[in-house]
Amino acid sequence: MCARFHNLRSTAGQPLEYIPTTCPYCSCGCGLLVHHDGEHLLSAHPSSIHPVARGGLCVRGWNCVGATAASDRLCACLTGRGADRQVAPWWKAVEKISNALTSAPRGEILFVLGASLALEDALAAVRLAEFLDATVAASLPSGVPPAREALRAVLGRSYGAASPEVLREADVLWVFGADLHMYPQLASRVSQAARAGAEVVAFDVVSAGAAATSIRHVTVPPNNLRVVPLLLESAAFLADRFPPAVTQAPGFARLAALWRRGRGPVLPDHPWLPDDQAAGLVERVLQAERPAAVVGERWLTAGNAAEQTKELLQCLALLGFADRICFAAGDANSWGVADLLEDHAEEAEHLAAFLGGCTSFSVVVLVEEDILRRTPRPAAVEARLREAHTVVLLDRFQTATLPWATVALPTLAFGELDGTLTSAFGLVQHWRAIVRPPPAARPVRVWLSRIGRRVGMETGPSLGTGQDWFRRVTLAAPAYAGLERQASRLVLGRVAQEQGGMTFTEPATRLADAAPPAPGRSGRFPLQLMLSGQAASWSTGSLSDREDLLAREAVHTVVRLAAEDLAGIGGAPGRTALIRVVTPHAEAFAVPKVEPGMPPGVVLLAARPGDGARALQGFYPDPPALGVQPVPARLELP
Amino acid sequence: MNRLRLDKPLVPAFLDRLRGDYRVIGPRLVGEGDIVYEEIPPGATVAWNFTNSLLPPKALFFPRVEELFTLDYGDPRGPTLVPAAPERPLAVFGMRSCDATGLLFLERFFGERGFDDPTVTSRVRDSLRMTLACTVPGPDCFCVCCDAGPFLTAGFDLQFVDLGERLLVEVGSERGLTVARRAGDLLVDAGPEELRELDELAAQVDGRFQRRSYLSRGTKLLSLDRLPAEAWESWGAECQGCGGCCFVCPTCSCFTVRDIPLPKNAAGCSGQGQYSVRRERIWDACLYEGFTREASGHNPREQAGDRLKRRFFHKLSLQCSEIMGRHGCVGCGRCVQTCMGALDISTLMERTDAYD
Repeated sequence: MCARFHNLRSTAGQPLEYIPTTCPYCSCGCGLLVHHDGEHLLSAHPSSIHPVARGGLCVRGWNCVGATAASDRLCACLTGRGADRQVAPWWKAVEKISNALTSAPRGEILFVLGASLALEDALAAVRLAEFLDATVAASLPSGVPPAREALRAVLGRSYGAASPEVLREADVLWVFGADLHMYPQLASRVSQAARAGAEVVAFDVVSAGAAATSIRHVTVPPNNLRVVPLLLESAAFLADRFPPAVTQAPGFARLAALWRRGRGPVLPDHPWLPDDQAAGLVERVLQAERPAAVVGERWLTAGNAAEQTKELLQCLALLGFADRICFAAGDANSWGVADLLEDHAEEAEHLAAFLGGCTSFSVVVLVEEDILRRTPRPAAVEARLREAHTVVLLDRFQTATLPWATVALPTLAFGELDGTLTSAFGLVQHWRAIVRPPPAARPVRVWLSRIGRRVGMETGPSLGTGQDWFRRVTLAAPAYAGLERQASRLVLGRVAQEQGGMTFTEPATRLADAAPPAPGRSGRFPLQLMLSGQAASWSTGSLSDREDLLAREAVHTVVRLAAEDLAGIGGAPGRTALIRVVTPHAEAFAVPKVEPGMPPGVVLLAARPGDGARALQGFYPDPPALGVQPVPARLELP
Repeated sequence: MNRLRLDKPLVPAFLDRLRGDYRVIGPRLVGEGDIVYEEIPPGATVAWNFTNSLLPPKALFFPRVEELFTLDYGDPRGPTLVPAAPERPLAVFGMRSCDATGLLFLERFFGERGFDDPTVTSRVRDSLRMTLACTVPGPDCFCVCCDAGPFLTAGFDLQFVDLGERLLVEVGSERGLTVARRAGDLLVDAGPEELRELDELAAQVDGRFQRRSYLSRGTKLLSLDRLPAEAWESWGAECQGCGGCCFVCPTCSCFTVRDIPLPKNAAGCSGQGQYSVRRERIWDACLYEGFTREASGHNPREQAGDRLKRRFFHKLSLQCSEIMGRHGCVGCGRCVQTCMGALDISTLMERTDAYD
């Protein structure tokens, strides 16, 4: 059914040819060169001229060939569920899907798009969903939608800085909720800036833990949502020193007046950042020539993220960061998929309601989205999928969601797919087809075109080449207008952005009522636990299997903590191999790792809101809390 | 016949004459300007104006993934060892001096320390190494500090020096001499003009290096273990754990092996037995956490700083230099380019200044 399709092959004696393509992992979109023999991907190494990679790759990129040579490829069309599952000819599978789509009541169809889909495939899914009057939403758990919403509202554009180099060149660098372990290209630039003398300030424990020794001035509040109103208040005294571009922006005068009125001892319990220190931080930013900032997933996935991020961006814009804000957020094509779903942004709420059990759909089409691996509440999602009449899964792998699919269609993996993507820097890049896919696998756009024909959709003169589909992308999404897809080019260009000016509005969050206080320390749970990223820590170079990669994204390995907290339970660095982390809702075993940047009383458990969340069931009762809210916890020796 | 001249337009013809005996490899431009060592098709030319490839030619001799042998369990009398298929020797044109020096290091590592691993050593020993001396070093290069370039006096079969439209060719071995003789009329004796240009270039090129590496100081501090644990801990925190420095280093040889079960009737197996196994060797990195993890689960180098210390000790300490005949850096500058934490050899040696 789904035999081992391919594995790493010896590179000795193979024909030598390298193809430039783009890393399939995070939103940095590093350019790399893949060595292949025509049938197999053999190895990968970074492009030395790619504007983001610049000769460097993180461990995922270096090993991406091994990780995609997976033993769990989906290699056949499947119909049925459980004991009824069988391999089916593609036309029968497609017919079953089209019958389900045409017979579903209006408004009862949900399309969920993955964040690593090629732009062309995402557009095909959006078009089919529109034709069927279906709900279409992307699974973008990494905070890209709130980032875009805030960018639009404050800066009038959809992307942050055009290059990570702004971080390297910064003289003051602020980091908010950025799990830099997961974005080494950004982490390295932050380190370089620190070494060059920049003042790097981490405003939360996650960011600080990720780059402890390269940060000169670390501020570690347990709850970073309170930072923005504090900084805004501190900035009030300096309002007359903001640059003209800021003071002339719409809304500035009203905002400034508001600060002056509201100034007072409104945050008395913030020993982590006294008023004078906050004012000092602001002062130094105003003196800086190239202030830059990183805003990461931890901030962007917090509760009320869009509003919080908007206030954060207002604060950063006021202080002169506007053109140098990088976002550490998203999978490979999160930003591009969000571009294509611009007109469907509100439908994300339907997906959230579906996952939350508030609504149901008769037909659910999962397009390269392993929804069960991402969710922190798999039981609830399984219940939703069980209730659906038809669950269609288009995927490259036998994912965690596959058992719930009633029809599954195999699609193309990295190295097989010809498509484009957009990085967090707005660079439109190429994924090249280098090797042949499994015989039954097809691009998503081909499957969806076949389905579309059966449900009466006009798909154009043919199923379409990548070139055709990219042309459709340029017509469908204004940001891509004018871009051309040239086979020889890896970077096709940068998305066009409206050059909107800054706009300031009254903050919704005001000082004393900014955020709930941090959980108090009780006798049973004296510590504050937060989730942090797991540094991609490869065991050996022998990665050959996607399962290896998934296992390393899981979260049971490391808890970072201060030496005092380890000593407090009778442990010692190097001698205590394992400790138990206990919260009111859950417990887990972890390897303790003492880190110099960690404040006493706060522990970080390695995790990621998406991929690793399943293993953390119970640690967080509610998905929005996956971000920056600490949870009371205690440590025990096993 | 020690110094010859080859006109650049004749290089494709020269390489074509090698094809009977060798797979011809050379530097090629791919994508939007990356240099890689690829097979040179007949009649095709090579890239000229480049500093170096990011991935060293080491990958040709010590491949990223390599089948060592297959154990076929098809014979009822016992498993049969099926060796990997033989390969044609390589002729690598345009290899930089640092990389040629790195190959000598690899050859010693795999073959001259009481054992011989012919998978690597035979590739190196059977190859035709045609180096291209550096006349314009890149911004990250420091081979001049490492006894590895920019011009070589040994470790090559033919050394080419780019003189514009002509190449000056130096013969460095019997194999090189044989090849030069076979090239016939393509190679002619160098004239006094070429020799004068060579002397001028050699005199100028040392001054063109922009980067220096304080290897002596680093060697002393590493050999005497004078760098404190806090320094390694601090540097370790900046290591992104990508393994890139190991992969791009011409002298690094970290590897692991694994056995891949093969289905019946797979290539190389008789198909009669229960199963067969292919043993592969793949590149590993000593900066990866599991590289030194023991079967018990204990890891003597669990912290990134410890792993970093071990890497640099192996690279530069006198203890390891004594075993390998030289230190393990050839000054190619690739780690400078690929390291995301400024923990490359050159930069780290500068950073040891605080501890001297």
